[in-house]
This record gives sequence, C-alpha cells and structure tokens, in this order.
Amino acid sequence: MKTVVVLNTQNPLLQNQAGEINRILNDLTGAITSVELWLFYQERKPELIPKISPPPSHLKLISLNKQHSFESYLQILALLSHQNSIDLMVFTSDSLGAELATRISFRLKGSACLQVESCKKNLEKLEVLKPVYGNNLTGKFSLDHPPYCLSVAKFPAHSPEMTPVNDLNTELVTMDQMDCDWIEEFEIIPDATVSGLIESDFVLVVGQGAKTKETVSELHQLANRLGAEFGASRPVVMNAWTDMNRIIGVSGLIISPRLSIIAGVSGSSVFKVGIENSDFIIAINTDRKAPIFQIADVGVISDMKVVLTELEKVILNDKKESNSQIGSEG
Amino acid sequence: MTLTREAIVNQLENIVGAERVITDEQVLKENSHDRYKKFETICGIYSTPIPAAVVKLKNTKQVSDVLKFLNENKINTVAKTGGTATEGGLETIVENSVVLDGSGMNKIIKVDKTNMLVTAQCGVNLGELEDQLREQGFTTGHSPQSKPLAHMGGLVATRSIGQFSTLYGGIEDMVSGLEAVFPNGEITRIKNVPRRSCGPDIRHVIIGNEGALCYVTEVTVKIFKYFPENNQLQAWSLDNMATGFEILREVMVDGYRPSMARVYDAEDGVQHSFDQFAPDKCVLMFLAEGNKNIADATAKGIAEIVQKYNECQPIESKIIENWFNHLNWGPEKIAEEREMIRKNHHIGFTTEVSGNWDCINTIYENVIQRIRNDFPHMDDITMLGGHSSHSYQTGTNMYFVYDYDIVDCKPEEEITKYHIALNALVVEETLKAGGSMVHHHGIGKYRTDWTKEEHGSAYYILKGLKDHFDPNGIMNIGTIYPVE
Amino acid sequence: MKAVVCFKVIPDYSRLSGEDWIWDERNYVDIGFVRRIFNCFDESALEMLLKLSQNPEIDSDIEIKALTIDDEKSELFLKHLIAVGYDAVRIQPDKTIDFRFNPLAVSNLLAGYIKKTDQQLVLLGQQGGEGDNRQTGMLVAERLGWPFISEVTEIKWSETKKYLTVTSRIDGNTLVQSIKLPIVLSIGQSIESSHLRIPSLKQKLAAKKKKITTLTSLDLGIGADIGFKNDKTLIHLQRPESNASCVFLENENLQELARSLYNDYIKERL
Repeated sequence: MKTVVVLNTQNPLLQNQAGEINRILNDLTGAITSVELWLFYQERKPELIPKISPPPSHLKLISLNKQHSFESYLQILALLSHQNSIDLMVFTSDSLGAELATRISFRLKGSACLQVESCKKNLEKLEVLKPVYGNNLTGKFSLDHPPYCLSVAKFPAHSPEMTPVNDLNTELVTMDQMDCDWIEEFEIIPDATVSGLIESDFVLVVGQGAKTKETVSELHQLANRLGAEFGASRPVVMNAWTDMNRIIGVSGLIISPRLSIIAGVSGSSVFKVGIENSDFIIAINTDRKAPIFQIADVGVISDMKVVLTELEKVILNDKKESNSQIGSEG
Repeated sequence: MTLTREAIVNQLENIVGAERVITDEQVLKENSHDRYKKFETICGIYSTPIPAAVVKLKNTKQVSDVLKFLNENKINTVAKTGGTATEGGLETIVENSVVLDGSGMNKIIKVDKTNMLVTAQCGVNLGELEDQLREQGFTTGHSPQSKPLAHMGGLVATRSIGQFSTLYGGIEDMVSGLEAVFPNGEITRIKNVPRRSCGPDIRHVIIGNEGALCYVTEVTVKIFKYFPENNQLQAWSLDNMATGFEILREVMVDGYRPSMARVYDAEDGVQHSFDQFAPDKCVLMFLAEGNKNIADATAKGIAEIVQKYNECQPIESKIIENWFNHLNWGPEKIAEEREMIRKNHHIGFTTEVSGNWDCINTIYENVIQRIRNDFPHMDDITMLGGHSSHSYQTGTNMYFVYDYDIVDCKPEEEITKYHIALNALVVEETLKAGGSMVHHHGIGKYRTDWTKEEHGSAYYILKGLKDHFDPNGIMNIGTIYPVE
Repeated sequence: MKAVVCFKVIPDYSRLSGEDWIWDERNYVDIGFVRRIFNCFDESALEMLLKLSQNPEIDSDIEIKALTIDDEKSELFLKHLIAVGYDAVRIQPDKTIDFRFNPLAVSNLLAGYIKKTDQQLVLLGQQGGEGDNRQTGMLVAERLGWPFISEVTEIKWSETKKYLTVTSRIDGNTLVQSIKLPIVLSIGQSIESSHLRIPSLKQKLAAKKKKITTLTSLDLGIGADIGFKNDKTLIHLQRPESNASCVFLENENLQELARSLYNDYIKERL
C-alpha cells in the first residue's frame, strides 16, 4: 500500500504522536510498499522532524498561511492524494488528526477509522481494532475500500528521535489557501500549568476517594514534595478539585510512568486505559472489589490519605538518611 | 459556674492527652452538624454553634472519665461515631459543646460462631464488619443505605434498620448485649443471653437513646448464616399504592418473611429509573433469602399471592438486581451529591414514618395531598413521592422523598423555608392518621415539637429515663426531648 | 435563530461489571436491563444550549430543538427535555440499518433534518454510545459544508451579541473564538455545564401535554440511498485483556505497611 503519514509541526506532542504512528505502521510491515511524510508547518520551515519507521522515501513540507482555515488542510490533502493515488493515510491521535482523517476520507470516498489501536492487512481488506462501548469492549472492523484514512489511538509509545530534514528527499509545497471568514477573532490561552505528566517516571493519581477539594490539594502538594507528577480521575476534575489538564484516562492523558500510585480511584474502563501501561502500579482503595486492582501490581485496602501520609514520611526519611550518609562519606 | 472554652479544652487534655483533643477549626465546623443541614454546610455556612473540642476516644474508661467531667461541669456533649445521622442528632446546638468521637474505637472484638454472635466496639464500620463476616459465610443481616460509612455505636443509638429487615429485623432484634457509659461515669454491661425474664428489658433504654441518655461503647449482635446463592428477587409493576399495601399485608400475614419487601410509587420510581421499565406505574419487589428450602418456598408463596392481582405485571429481575447493587452511599456518591447541590442549588431529603395496615394508605395519600395543597413553595419541588420498605405483621413504614430547587433563599434559611416545613406537614398528617412520626431515623432535633404528641401518656416513662439518667441535661441537648 | 442538539441516550455502563458484557452471534450486546442515561457529552450540550437560549440579555428568540435517532423507548427522555424547555424530535431509525458503528448513516439523517428545518447552530456530544466513533459531528459538518469546532467547553454570546463566543480545547490549551453562524460544534468536557437541569413538577406536568415530533428518513426526503452505506464492517467484538495478579498488602499498623510498601516495591523504582 502506498502510505502517507500526515503530521503538524505546531503540535507540542509531535514526537509522541510520531511514536504512536510508528506503532501502527509496524503492524503493517510487509503490506506497506512506500511511505511519504507530509508535514504541515507555519512560518519557519522545520529543521528537525521525528523519525518515522519505516523511513519515508519522500518528504513534502507544506506551508500554511497564518490565517489559514481548516479547509486549507483538506483541500491540499485532497489535491495531493489525487495526484499521487494514495492507499493509506495515517493521521495523528489528536482532534486535528481525527478531523482530517474523517473529512478527507469523505471527500475521497475512502474508509475512515479513528482511535485505531492496531491493524493488519488481511487479503484485500484492512482490518483494525478500536475501542467501543465506552472502552468496555474492543471492536475488530474491516475497512471497506481505500484510501484508508486512520487516526491512530493515543498510546504511551516510545517516542522516536528527531532527525534532520535535509537527510530526506524533500519537496516544498505552497498552495493558494482560503482565509477563514467565519472566525471573527480568536485567542489561545495556554494552560497555567504545563503538564509534565506525559514524561514523568513517577506519578500519583488521585480519585474521588479523596472526598474533598482540600484533600486533593494536600495530596498534590504531597506529590510535589515526593517529586511525583500529579494526575486525577475525570470525576475529580469535573468537581473542579484540580486542573482539567491532569485528567488521566480516555478523555485526557494516556501515560506509562515507571511507577504509579493510584489512590481512591475505583478504576472504570475509561480511567484504566490511561494508566494501565505503567510499569508498576500500586493501588490504594477502601473497596477490595474496586476494578482498579485488576491492573494493579500491589494493592492496599486502606484510607488513602493515611497511607500516603505515612508513605511520605518513610520516603522523605530515607532520602534524608541517604543524603546525610553521602555527606558523611565526603 | 460555666467553664470557658479554653478551660474545657485544658481539662480534656489532662484527661485524655492533648493529641486526642482536636480544636482545628475546620474539624470543629464539620462536627457541629450532620446531614440535616446538608445545604448550608455544603455552601460553607455553619450556623450551628461550633463545639469547643472534638475528643477522639480510645477506650471505655476514657469515655467514663470524660463524661464524668462534662457532667460535673454541666457541659453539653454529643456522641458521634460514623456521622451519617440525618435528623440533626449530631448538631451541637449550645455553645461550647464537646463532641465525643468514638470512631477510633474500631476493634472487632470477637466473632463467636457457636453462639452466632459478633462483638464490636462502637467505632467499627458496618460495611467492613459485614464484608469480613461474609468472607466467612455469615452476615449481620443489617444493611442500611449508609452501610459503607456508618458505625455500630450510631446504628444502635438511632434504632437503625436495614434493607433486609423484614427477615432479619431492626437493630433492636439483632442486639444481644451492650456496654454503655452513663453521664455520671457509670459503666454498664449487659450480658449476652438468648432471652430472659429478669425485670424489664433494659437494653431498650440504650437502643434508640440517640445519645440523650448514655454513650454506647460496645455492641454484640447476632450473626446469621449467609446464603446469597439462594437469593431470589421478584418484581412487578402495578397501578396503585393501595394495592401495593394490600399485597404487602397479605404476604406478611400469611407468614412469609422475605428479607426485602418494597413498594415504590411512580414519582419516587422516576429517581430510580423505574419509569424506564414501568412508566407511570408503582413497583413492587420482594427478595427471598435464607436456606434453600425457605428461600424457594418464600419466593413461590409470594408469587402465588401477587399473581392473584391482575394489575401486577412482572418486571425482569435482572433490572431490579442491577439497580439494587448500586443503591448504597459510597464516598463517590456523597462527593457527587455535594457538587450537584453546590452547583445547581437542588437538593433532596426524606421523612419516614410508620403506621398499621389500616391507616398506612391514608397516611400516604393524606401526606401527598397536604403537601400539594399547603406547601407554599410547590413550584420549587421537582419530585414528591414515597415508598414502603419495612413491613411487619401489623403494619409497614412509609418513606416520603422530596427534591426541590432552592430559590431566592440564603443557605442558612433553606431548612426553614423548605426542609422543616415539609417535614412538619408529613409529621402532622401521620400523627393525625394514627401513625408514628419516625420509623427509623430517630427524632433528632427537628421533630421534638411532636415528641409528647407521639408518645401521649407514655411520655411519662420516656421523660422518667431522662430525669433519672441525665439530671444535669448534658446529653445531646435538644435531641428527642424538646428544649423547655 | 434555530438551534438543535443531537443527542443519544445510552445504557449506564458504570453499572455493569465484567460478567455483564455478553454478546450474541450478531455481535449485539444485551444490556437492556441497565438504566439508560443521557450520554454525558450530549448532556453538556443540552444544558449549554438551554443556558444560551435563556440568556435574558438577548432579544431575539432562539428556537431550540433536541433531536435523537432512537425508538419509542427514548420518549421518556424527550419528555424530560420538553419539561426543561426544548421542542423534542425523534427520528425512527430504519430497522435495516445498523447505526452503531456507522456515523456516515447517522450524519446522513442528521444533516437531512438540519437542512430541511433550516437550523443554524448544531451541537453534539463528541462521542458516545456503542460506537464511540467521534466522527458524527465532523461528518455532519462535511455534509452541510459548514465550519466545525471540536472539544467545545463553553458557548456564549459575544459582547456585541453579533457573534457566538466558543471556548474549546486544542493541543492542551484553551482556544476562545468569536464565530459567525452557521456552525457545527462538538461538545467535550464542560465543567460549567456538566449536568442537565432538573424540571419542576409543574414543568413535568405541562410537558405531558406537549407532543414529540416523530419522523422517518422518508419524511426527510432521504430514501434508502447511498448515504447510509458504512465504510467499515464489524467483524467481531472482544474483551480487552485484564490481569488479575495483584498482591495485597495487609497490616493494621499503617506505619509498618508504608515502610514495607516502600522497601519492597518503591525504593528500587525511584
């Protein structure tokens, strides 16, 4: 299959997104005959791009006007696809990727699927797995006809390194673009706290078992003192007990820290997916039957606040001792 | 001579140690109220006087020492364990009260499988006790909706009842022996015997005293063999509550003892999503439980009775099972409720009463009618209905439920504008029809205006207990006994 | 101005445990015994539009409709929506079409209704139901040739009242745009409008007398045409894998428990 990967350099999670895409491309080894990378950028041409695997034979750098409209993406993609008779287009896991995949497929009369967790070429059809029924089940689908337009699932995949643009056979694409006439004005307000959750090795996630905003706040500070990043289940955020960008789960972040402590979270399907790939999970909950224990390595049935407070004492004490030991040896 | 707040705190610290006397402001605020003042406290208003201290008790001796001190100095005290009370029983309505928190006395002392008894301190969480017993094949049979949060002390003090009472009884049927401490420091222990005729049954002085006579420190209740595999749930839709009561009566009078027997009216049914399966209908349900012979015979016998009534249509039991498994108040539900109340200014309460068979339907109809006619803020009401959930040989209870929007009203005025007013209408109609104004929540502090009417001439006996055991009037002022 | 919220009523998945997920040879899951609720994102959309339409500062009347593709079982929810102020419309799904994983078919019906009734503002929850496809809103926009904004968290009238101010999430940031109608909005996590308001008894009583508009695809002038064809076929359903090998630590002394938790499991991983 002639394959195109579409990326947008504006996205801060570009490397993670490339990792997610590589995972899916890997599923199709053997079925892919060639890969092209189409990269949208604004203003400055990028010098580094994430390494796609299998390595693209060709790179198209497509510049977008500052005031470009979403239509521009679609028109450019449609034109380029027609010129190149593409079989498979792979888009990123974010809402831009989802929208592009869906709408370009409609225009090209192809088949689109979002949240693709894995896929394979079966005879003449492309088969994909995607979550269904509120993440409680997985559905296996066969996509009807090319061009297949996939937006991959969010996944804590290995982020590939960045590679210089000049290493690739590159083409610059500039096209006339429509201005956006339906937007009168716009403003981007960056989030107050930049979430280091995605990169962190040690994460504390707190759920409704915390019971109050004050406790959530206290535990956030406890996490800070321990050097852990702080996440929360959707209900905690929806109660406005912590920031929106700390949601772990299908509607937020999907992370895979080396160590996670999940306290007071019952562990619904929509939550589990956000953390189940963590290397080691310690779950604290007063309910022995809570589904969170299905993905935990170690379980503690107790009041979360008390356990975490004691744990903090032990951890900080140990740090203090090992620091003082270093001092005395010096 | 009344002690100052500081003096009270100092003396308490001398008795139990400073680490057991809590004076943190937020903790004190949370200990000044219970679920009756849900709205104002969720809005951060605490109109009840803040107590001088919360004492976290370690053992019975401490309870005795502290009570003696409080009694000698005429300081009001409120007994508290799980804190799930709904009638104001935990409110510290006078200045400088002291809250005695027994939730730390949480040891399960003994599980006696030969005599079928379990002994627990007052701070044992019922949900945890029940889970542990079930792992061993037993159950207390006590399952109030507050089970995940309630503790044994409070459950006894309020004369609580659970979802399976129709088979297992209320707490008063389950208690074998008790230990309680009286205001003068006297520690009394009632031993565990199956039955005796050695004077009046003094356990009943303690069970239901709502902290107005003594402090419950230890409880021994019966345990039963647990056969969940034999459970059979049956449900039907029907047109009228009157028919529902008739069927409940027939089932009880014929001698069947399902563990659960309920009938919901259509309005109450909506909040349980019953209208999705039986729109505009009442819902009748029974759970047969126990050893296989009994469970089978109970289920069969009940079905035979119900089938005689043409208006009853069966509802798939899986529907009711799924609903029932999600009924209890876990911490997540409470947290979600708080947010709904705070954001939407929308709240719900209940007032539950009881009556003999010949007057229960009258109570039901008259209460609903009276509220519709006489409650001045009917426009704010979003739900008004009820259900019966505890039946007896001679009658049943009626649980009225009402939800409303709080409109043009300061948080601290909500209870006057809505809650107390609605409560009063229910109580008045119930007493008029010959029922009892409280089935299992306790009188608390908001139905004391009717305590004397409720008891009639027998109030003499009730009052005598208070006069004798709490002559200084320090035990939970304003609870059960009206403040004169 | 005419506005419509396209919503779905779904089983309350949170009330189901592992053993309840059983499906037959046609890949239909029977969870009819669980209560149904508004899909949470649709619920936000419904509350949002009510707030917008009931803004006292606006003179013009906004006609608001709530639309669903469902059988008679949804009428209970439609009556609830009438009670809070909506006109309710139900499109009877064609029995020959499996709408579950077919946003092309769903969007075909929705776009047909929107065009026929001259709607200018369309709101839908971003995902939900069996399919969780996330595509319906985009496809509606595509079929109508309208602009589309995803992950919307709040909508209100702009200062001048000439534009709609739409707040949404993008790339982990907040985007606020003043836009012209017509437009399709996909609603995401809204803290402000997380729950639909509850009608009073009086409103519920009044709603009983009002009618629900019921339509079929023929009424919308959409025959059994190609717009319903799916671009994918369901092969089978499967359960996600789960592992049940959790080690439980027990110790009444929480200090000791914390210490062993740290020494045995945490220390080496920090």
